[in-house]
Amino acid sequence: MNAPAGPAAGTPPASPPMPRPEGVAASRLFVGRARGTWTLPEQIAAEIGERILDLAIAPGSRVPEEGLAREFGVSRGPIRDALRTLEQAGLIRITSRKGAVATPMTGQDLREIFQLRTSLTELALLGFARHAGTANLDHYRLLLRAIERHTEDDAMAIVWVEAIDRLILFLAHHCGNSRVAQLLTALSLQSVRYVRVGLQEGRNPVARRREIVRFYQDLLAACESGAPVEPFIERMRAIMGERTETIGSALA
Amino acid sequence: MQLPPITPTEAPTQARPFARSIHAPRTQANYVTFRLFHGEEPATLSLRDQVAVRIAERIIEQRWKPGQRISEQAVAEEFSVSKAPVSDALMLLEYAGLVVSEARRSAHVAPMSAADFREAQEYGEALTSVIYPRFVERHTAADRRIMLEYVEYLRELVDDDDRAFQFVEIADRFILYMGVHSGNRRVARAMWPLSLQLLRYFTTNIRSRSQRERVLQWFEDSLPYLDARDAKGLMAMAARSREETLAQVREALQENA
Repeated sequence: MNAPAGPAAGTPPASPPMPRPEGVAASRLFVGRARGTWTLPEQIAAEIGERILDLAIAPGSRVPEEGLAREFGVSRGPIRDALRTLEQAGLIRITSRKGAVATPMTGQDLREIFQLRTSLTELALLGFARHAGTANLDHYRLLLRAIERHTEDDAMAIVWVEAIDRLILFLAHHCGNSRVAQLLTALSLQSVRYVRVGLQEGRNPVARRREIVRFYQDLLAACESGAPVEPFIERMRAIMGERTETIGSALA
Repeated sequence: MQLPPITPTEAPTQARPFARSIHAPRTQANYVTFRLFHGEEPATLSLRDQVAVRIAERIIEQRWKPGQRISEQAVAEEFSVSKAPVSDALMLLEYAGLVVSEARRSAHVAPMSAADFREAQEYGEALTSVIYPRFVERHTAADRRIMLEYVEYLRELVDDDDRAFQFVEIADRFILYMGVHSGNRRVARAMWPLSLQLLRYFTTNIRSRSQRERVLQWFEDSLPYLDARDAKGLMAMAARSREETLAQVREALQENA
């Protein structure tokens, strides 16, 4: 058997960075609130949060209060408030010894997040199906189209996965249980860095993406026709379990 | 010559180990503090934290009524502090789900309703569906001894109407204990505030001795499931008591209204 042909002479040109969706942190931190209503510390929290998700601030590394105050041209008060918001959201940890640190990424942490997400997503799916009105289903279709647009394109994986997560959160916020919605939103934010690890080469093939899109298409059809959604719970659990494994092995 | 000190010196206060109160059911600890600070029981509390604990007690014990407006000014005057720690304390209590505020202006005691209780209960089930299988699988002989201590203590308390609230509080700690030892720190973290929210409902729900007896029965019955490492059985048992609890809370809320 022949070895696969390597690249011809020279190294291939570095691929351009993948397009990234905007406002990933802000969309979770301020669900349903227009940009104009964010306070100064909240705007700063959104910006720092985005840097953490993009790994511009690496997991486990310090988030320096003073440097940020200088950069944003504000006193340390608003920075401290912003950091407290991010601590509450689980993106940073504040200790008296080291100050603020971007939450480290670990396999244990990954499993904790996904266990809890799976359990809460179950409630979100069942609750949404119970409460789904026409307006909700219209918005579902809108979110689904945004997903479908990017399914086939490897280069759009980060946008694709963000579109999926927004659909899940939409279901959560319309499942009739605000506590579930709130915790799932926080967990979604904490998952972003992990989920992106799972997009690395070969770990998110198009066949898998199609399968997931089919899941949400079928779920929509069930909600539209009033068919039971219980069968979807097992499928959801299988998808989440597979993802945890994939991301876990990429982290190791 | 060495003279005695003016007053006896106090032993240095030690920072308590994590979640000490839930490891020793008979600890006489403030029931709010360790729940509000996610298991931590610092030897000293900041001004904000002290204010938060005292407000939380009033809300949970329903000395402040659901929906009632909270005046930062009045609280600040009562505790002789400035408005800043009061406002920070209210923010903390908002995270804990005991206070609601609109656009960061006026704060109110979080309302209570059967629908809200049902929601909290459903959310709690999602959390315990993560906790029970893992705790049942992981628990050690030491855990088992502490569980038994809990049950014995509940047995002692069950007849005493004057200590009905304590009974409920201890029963709730039992669940928190399982959460902390489930091996999932996030689920434990989500349990603390929920526990505060549920305690407020359970104060409406503890009047009769027969109700407490049923709760005790539940905890007694849970031990064999632990021994058999039968998580499914434990969860099925938890699900059976759900409707009954909801009905009791609904009834109590109607009486109070």
